[in-house]
Amino acid sequence: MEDMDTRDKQPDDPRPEIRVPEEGAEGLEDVNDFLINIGPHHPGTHGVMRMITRLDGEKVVGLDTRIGYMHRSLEKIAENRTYHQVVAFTDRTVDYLAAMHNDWVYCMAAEKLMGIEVPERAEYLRVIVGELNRISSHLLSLGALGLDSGAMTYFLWTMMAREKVVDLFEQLCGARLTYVYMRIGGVMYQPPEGWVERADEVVREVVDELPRYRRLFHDNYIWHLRSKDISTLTPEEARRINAQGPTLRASGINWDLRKNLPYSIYDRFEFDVPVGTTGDVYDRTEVRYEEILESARIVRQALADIPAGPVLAHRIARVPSPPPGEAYARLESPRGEIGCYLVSDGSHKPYRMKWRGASFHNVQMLPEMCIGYTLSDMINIVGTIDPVMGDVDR
Amino acid sequence: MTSDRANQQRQARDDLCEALGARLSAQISCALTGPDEVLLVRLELDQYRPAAETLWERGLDRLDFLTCVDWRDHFTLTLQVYSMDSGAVARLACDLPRDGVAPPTISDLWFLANWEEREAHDMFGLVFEGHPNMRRILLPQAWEGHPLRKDYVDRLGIERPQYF
Repeated sequence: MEDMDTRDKQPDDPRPEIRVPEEGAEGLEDVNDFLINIGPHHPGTHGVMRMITRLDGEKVVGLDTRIGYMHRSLEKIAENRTYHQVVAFTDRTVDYLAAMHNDWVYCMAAEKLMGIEVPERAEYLRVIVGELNRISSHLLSLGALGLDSGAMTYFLWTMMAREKVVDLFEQLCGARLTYVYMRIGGVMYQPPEGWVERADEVVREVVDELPRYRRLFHDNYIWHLRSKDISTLTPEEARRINAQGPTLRASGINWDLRKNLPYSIYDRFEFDVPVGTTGDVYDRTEVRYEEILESARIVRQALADIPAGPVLAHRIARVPSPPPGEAYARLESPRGEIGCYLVSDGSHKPYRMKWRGASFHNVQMLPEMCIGYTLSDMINIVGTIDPVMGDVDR
Repeated sequence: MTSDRANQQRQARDDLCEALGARLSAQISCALTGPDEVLLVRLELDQYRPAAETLWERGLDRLDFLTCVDWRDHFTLTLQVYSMDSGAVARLACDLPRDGVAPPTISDLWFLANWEEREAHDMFGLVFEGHPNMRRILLPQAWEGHPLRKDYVDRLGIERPQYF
């Protein structure tokens, strides 16, 4: 201690003198305003994203998000592949945590272009795997949010539940993350024997787990302190910035493509759209939590009524050449609305493919949500929009 | 229920067509596109911004996408928006020469158009007039060329085999 005191007093000390300005002194803003760089490699950014943050004390007053570190030019690749080959890219190049949805939206657009009717059983299987994928994606998202805010046990629990769903996918198509299960005209495989019963069991097991999560994390006093009234979005504000998915619904706007502009066979199922009230971090996690329950409801109904029959449409060319035209398909992914715009010039390769990624737009909204809150809140806010960098950079 | 929704959408589509015709005071081609039956409005470049403003005022405040298609001799700038209230969808398509024109920005209307326009700038070299931050977004700032143009050659000049 004594050494340090004397060393501080040395006149030729190269370290700058730390001045504490007086309250209200001129130039105080300059002293307190400083930049902090987060990322590109940082656990709080959920991938390779750079956030240049301007801080006033601990408060975020400016945010500049830089993306593109993982750009793999999906759209250029798609221009050089046949229609069937693109499916393998849409589930690993873009949002890999909801691979089923990405394959689905691409196949929907391609089917529109080619005028293909999907068999009934395939539609049911698509809904089942889509909703199971939503469950697994939300489980990971909630767990990662817990991990960001210091609840490590919660992350391990949700990963254990997610494992069961992923195992189901492995039984179905052999892959655990990049499924390539959807094909143009249906799905690739019939479910193996006993899969439907097992799926029903898994959904029940996951739903039975959820009250434990609520006791551990969602009803936790510390979590309430960290999440309530943080990053509130009014309905008008949410509409202005085109918020989507759970972020939009947490602000109290009842908008879900599955309900409002139904695609596939979603109009046959009974489910509710959970909405929040204030649109803060707490409401966004609650909406995700409730959505797991609603997805489980849809999966159970679909498993109960699934008809027999083929799962792939007949007479689909190995190398299809759709007539010239354009088609756009959109659907509700766990992170919001995703879409695929396909332009055909009559050849066997897509002339142009445009991907509308949900995370790309969610990341754009970050400054609107983060400014005015503290740096530690910002990490939680990034967690609630659940960005997948593969979807942002494509 | 389904036919109600279809009727409502058809009504909204007709209204939109009428409003666009009145605003632009010109004969514009409103048609349903081939397979996906979306209202497709083909425009000249100077009609693009007024048409977008009309759509915004009519409550089509959600942006699906804004992109560009390279047809080798010209670009087509495409914008698709929809309304949360009526479910009406509109797609604007606007032909423009590949170089030398700057389409007006719409990023002051649709919040999400900001990054979409930056992406179109990055990939096609379009410069949007009035955009607050017209820089590359996905590629490094020093990148040469615009990859999604059909005549783009990559920096290494590798000829890739054409299997199909």
